[in-house]
Amino acid sequence: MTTGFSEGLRARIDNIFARYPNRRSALLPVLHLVQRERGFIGPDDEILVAGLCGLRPVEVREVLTFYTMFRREPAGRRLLQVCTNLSCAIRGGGRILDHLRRTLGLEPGQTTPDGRFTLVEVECLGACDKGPCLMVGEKLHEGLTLEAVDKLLRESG
Amino acid sequence: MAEKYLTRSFDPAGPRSFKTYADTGGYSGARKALAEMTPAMVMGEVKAAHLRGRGGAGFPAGLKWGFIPQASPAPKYLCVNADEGEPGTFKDRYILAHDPHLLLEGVVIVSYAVGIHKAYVYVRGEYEELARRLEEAISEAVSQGALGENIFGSGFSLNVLVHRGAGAYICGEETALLESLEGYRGQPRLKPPFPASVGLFGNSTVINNVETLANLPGIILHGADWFLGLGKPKDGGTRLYSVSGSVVKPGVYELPTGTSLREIIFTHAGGLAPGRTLKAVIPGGLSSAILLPGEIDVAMDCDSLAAAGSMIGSAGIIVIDDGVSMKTVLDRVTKFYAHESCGQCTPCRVGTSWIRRIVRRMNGGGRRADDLDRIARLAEAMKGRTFCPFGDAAALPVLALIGKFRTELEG
Amino acid sequence: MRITIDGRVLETSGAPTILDAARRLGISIPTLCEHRRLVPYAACRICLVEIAGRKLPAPACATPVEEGMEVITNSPKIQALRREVLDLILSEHPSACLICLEKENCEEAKSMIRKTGEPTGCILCPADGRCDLQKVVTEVGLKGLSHPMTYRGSGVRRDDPFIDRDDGLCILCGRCVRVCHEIRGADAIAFVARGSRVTVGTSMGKRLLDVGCLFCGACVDVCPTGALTERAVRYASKFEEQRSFICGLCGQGCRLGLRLRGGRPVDVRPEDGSPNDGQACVKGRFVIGDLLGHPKRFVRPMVRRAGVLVETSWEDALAAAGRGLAEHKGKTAVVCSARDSCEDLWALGRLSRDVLHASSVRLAEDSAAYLLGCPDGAEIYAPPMTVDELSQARIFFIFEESLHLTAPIFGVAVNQALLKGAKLVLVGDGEYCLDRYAAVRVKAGPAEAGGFLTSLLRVLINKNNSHDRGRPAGFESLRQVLRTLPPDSPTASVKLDRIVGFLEKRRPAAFIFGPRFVAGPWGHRNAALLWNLAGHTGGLYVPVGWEANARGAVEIMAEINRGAFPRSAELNKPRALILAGPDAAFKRAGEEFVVALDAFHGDAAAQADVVLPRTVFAEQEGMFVNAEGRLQFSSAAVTPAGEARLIRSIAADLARALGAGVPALETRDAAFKDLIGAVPSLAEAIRIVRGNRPALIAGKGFAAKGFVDIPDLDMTFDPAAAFPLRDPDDYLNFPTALEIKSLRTARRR
Repeated sequence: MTTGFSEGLRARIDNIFARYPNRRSALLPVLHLVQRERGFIGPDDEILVAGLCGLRPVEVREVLTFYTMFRREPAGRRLLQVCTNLSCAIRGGGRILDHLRRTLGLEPGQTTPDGRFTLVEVECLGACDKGPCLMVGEKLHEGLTLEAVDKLLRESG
Repeated sequence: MAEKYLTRSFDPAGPRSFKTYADTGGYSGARKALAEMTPAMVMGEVKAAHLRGRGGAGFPAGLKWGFIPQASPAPKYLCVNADEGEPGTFKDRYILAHDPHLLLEGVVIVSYAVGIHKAYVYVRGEYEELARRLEEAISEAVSQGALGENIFGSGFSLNVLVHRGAGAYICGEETALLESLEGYRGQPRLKPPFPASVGLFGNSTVINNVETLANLPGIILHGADWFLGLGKPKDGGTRLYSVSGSVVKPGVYELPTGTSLREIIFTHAGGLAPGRTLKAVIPGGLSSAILLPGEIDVAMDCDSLAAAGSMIGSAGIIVIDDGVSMKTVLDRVTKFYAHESCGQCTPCRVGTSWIRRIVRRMNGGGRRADDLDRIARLAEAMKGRTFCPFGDAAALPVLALIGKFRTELEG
Repeated sequence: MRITIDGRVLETSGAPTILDAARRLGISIPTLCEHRRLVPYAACRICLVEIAGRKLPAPACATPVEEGMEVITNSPKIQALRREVLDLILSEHPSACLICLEKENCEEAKSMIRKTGEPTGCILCPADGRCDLQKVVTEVGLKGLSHPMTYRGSGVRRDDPFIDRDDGLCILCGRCVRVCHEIRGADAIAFVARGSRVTVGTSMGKRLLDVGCLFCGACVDVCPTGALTERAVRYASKFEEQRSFICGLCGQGCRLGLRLRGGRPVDVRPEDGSPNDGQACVKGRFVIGDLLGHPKRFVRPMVRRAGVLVETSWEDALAAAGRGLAEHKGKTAVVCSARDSCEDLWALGRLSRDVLHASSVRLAEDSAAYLLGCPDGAEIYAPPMTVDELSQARIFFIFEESLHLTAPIFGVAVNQALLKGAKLVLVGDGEYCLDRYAAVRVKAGPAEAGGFLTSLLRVLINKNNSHDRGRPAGFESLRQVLRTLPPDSPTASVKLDRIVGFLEKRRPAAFIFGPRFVAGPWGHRNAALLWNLAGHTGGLYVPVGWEANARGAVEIMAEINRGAFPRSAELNKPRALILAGPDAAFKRAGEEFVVALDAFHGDAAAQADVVLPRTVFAEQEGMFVNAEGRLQFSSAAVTPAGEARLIRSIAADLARALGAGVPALETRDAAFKDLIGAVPSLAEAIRIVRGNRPALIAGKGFAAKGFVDIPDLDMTFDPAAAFPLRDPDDYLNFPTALEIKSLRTARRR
């Protein structure tokens, strides 16, 4: 935990503020930025963001807990997001999730003890034509087979 | 093969740059509008084209713009709804990935017609890479004089900004989108007032889907008659159909509005894999009522599907073959809506969570005789009674599933 | 407009909601998330009604009526719908008792089982009998439940002062969240998480104490169930009657209801109507019960015998007081309190002036806010102003006040205006509750603020965008004075231009300040500048007296002293003292005889020769003038503690003991008539009362007075050496005040 944001991050946050008529509107982009820099949004970050956006801490909390992409705990170095919504499920999304569960020994929401992977089950990623799909970090992998997943695991983290 | 317009020159290799887009006639619609037409003429043309919203509700776009008070000196906003969250739908991603300038040209046209100088594109949080590409396209367009100050020397200025969501299906609902853009929880607002009068930051706001706006350059360039000729009399143009599930060639297909569902699945998407037979189709994204194989000769347009007891929604077609258990379908559908309910109003918050609990118990083996009836009762208790259309979106597919596959679900 | 509800026709103007219209017709529509003072939320869906020609039912609370609208509120379809919605709510709310067949006989069957941790049914619930959900269940007529009951909560949270929270009873109507934001502006609580996991929570799940909660109690008052309860009365018996009184703990004069059982206080609830309209604060809401029955109350008179204070009879104590005071006629000083009623003050005043011929009569508290900074000025500056007017202001200048603490009801009005887009300029060198709303923040204490105000006034006058009609008195000389001042620094100019920009677009302005800002050597100057600014911009000049009757007290003191307030130096050598006002720092210095009229044991009373126990506000009737200038009549809500007597009665008793009874003080009516006859401004306001309008006492206004001269600062004055900042609650010499102070300190963290 640090007590403040870096100069660079502060500068980028100020850039975001310039795009909106008020600071509150910048809340989501600012939280995205903080999460990108820190990996997650911790209690200190919440308070700092509230201060920067001119909000009460609870006004950050209510927003933070509403959107599923914000993490309040550190994730592994690679975040594995498996889509199990219908289109992917038809094409084997469930098998991919089960495979990852077994291989990594994780339930969705958990992180491997070595901090390499965090497994998350997500709703539709908007790539239904290429299902089953998996997001590793920011990168979307489509049309996966179990072998392809194993290869991905070997190559990342 | 029917005429394609939106996707006529999509480059499968990646997004087209400003140069390739402009070289193939891009931005000539916007140039024409700015140079030769008054805002009223643009609006008239779009009204005449019967361009209906591609986001799900199917509201005529020209009519929507007409609700904006023109005389008011207060700023007006455009919000582009790129929060494509409806499962089974990926057409907006397709446009953003292949041709961001097509969207931006549409943004210029609507902004000019309505008198807007600031537009936000609300991109769903998961499309992080696309959002970045869109921002690059915007700076490209600004540097080429297609956005920013004094566009194409016309004196018209427009500032376009990208705003990313953070994982909430409900933000596709237009007032929830506004709340989210303003930095609040994505809980829908009371209507009235409608966004056209009190929208973003309390100002008049137009909210349109990505695909809707992508149609504008064509309408301006070729006219309303041409556009109507592509589709149906009260529902013009082509549509981007997202086809996924058990088909040989899943993908986005641009076809005339009103193409039959059978044709889309079997002619364009290659039908089902050998040895598989069709069991059911979800025609308009997860929230539309499921159709049986005997019902797929329906024309894919707003009115025909409504008459068939479903809806075109976002035209996200999910094809289900005989190898898929309807219990899985029910499980996925109810899980999704329980996960995405915003929790504001009673019927939706408690209803989706109860349906989910019962389905989970059923699929875990603890089935009781009246389970399906209880689920149906809960769905009925949500239908038409919730704060926003989410309740219907959660109730209708469940009711259709139970209505059409009761025996299988009970088994 | 003409509409039909359930076949009954209503003619209405404006656009009320269907719910309002139905209520006007006496048609009941059940509601849960709706609240009179809150923006419609339409989330509980229990008030859905049918509208002819519309496909879907609409929420009555949020749907405005339209010409020719036909509404049906009780069709079988709607009734079934309500039962289904209620069924869903109750599936997540302990509800066994609601539908229990043995409900009727339960009162006899149950014994001492109320003291349980988590309620599982109504008889175990602190809200039993006052629960809106219970009422709605009865109204809707639910007979059975379709779902097994689930408990959403994680136990009762009891880690805060005054308030217990139980998520298990919460139906997520959002009334608490909305009142905290829309009315109080505290934003301590909000919805956390999404979907079925939503709860009402705080930042990081902290205690309310740690997240800026002011413990105003508004959330408890609007909670329809037992999710938010006042801990002290969580399991108290239900009250039998509610009696109205005016709170005496600050200058707002809130109308509160003391709820009693067997004549003893149970709890306090704010009442509707002006000035507080259903709102209170931590003091009024949670401590009055403790205050009335506090163990430190004086319940019998005391006299000093052989150096020790001992209890005695009234007869004895009055005789002792009379003997002592008789020796020092003409050399007695009298200290009164601005928190006492007009009748009390008048009685003390007459005793002092006409019987004791006192050397001085003064208020213990600082009344500078109303005297334009002149400690000895007889002119009172306070044009009439109401909370409603305040909430209409478009720009606020607040000086040195944490309104949420010193004037909570004004704070509510300011919050509502800010939410509607008003701007705030906050001047002060401390930290204030409203900091985060400030569009412009001027870091300047009372000593430095004069420079800022002078500059602002100069810019405005030079711009000549005056709101005044013609040239009010004093304009030219003011302009001359301002011309001679040195120019502002560039940074100050930027800030000033911004403020002037606001003032050009936003009218009216309101200038709000408390005693602290206009006390001390800079006070006169600050007050004069504010007066001129308010006058020049056509804004509200809003002095906030901290005491219950500060506004009335200055009028009465002015009359008693008739323009000759004694200089403080003269106070130094009285031979005897009547101490009827709080003075925590009182040190007996040469007085030969001291009589204390006090309610609580404390340092001041401990030094007295005679202590006469007095009543406190809820125990007595009387007239109070609040910070608006509103005349209010309080009745006695509860019998006095022990043998405590009203100050007026004590004054009359003392007069008699001194052998000079004053007939005008013998009864309340006589004292009131005497007072009204003597103080013209009160008489004038009373005349208005009879005209059925709010009775506001009017001090001199700008129209009559015009600009005032800006006095020079006393440059020899050393701010560090004198005038320690007074706490707004210092004057509350009752023991609970200490707890409130520590609470506030915690809140600032």
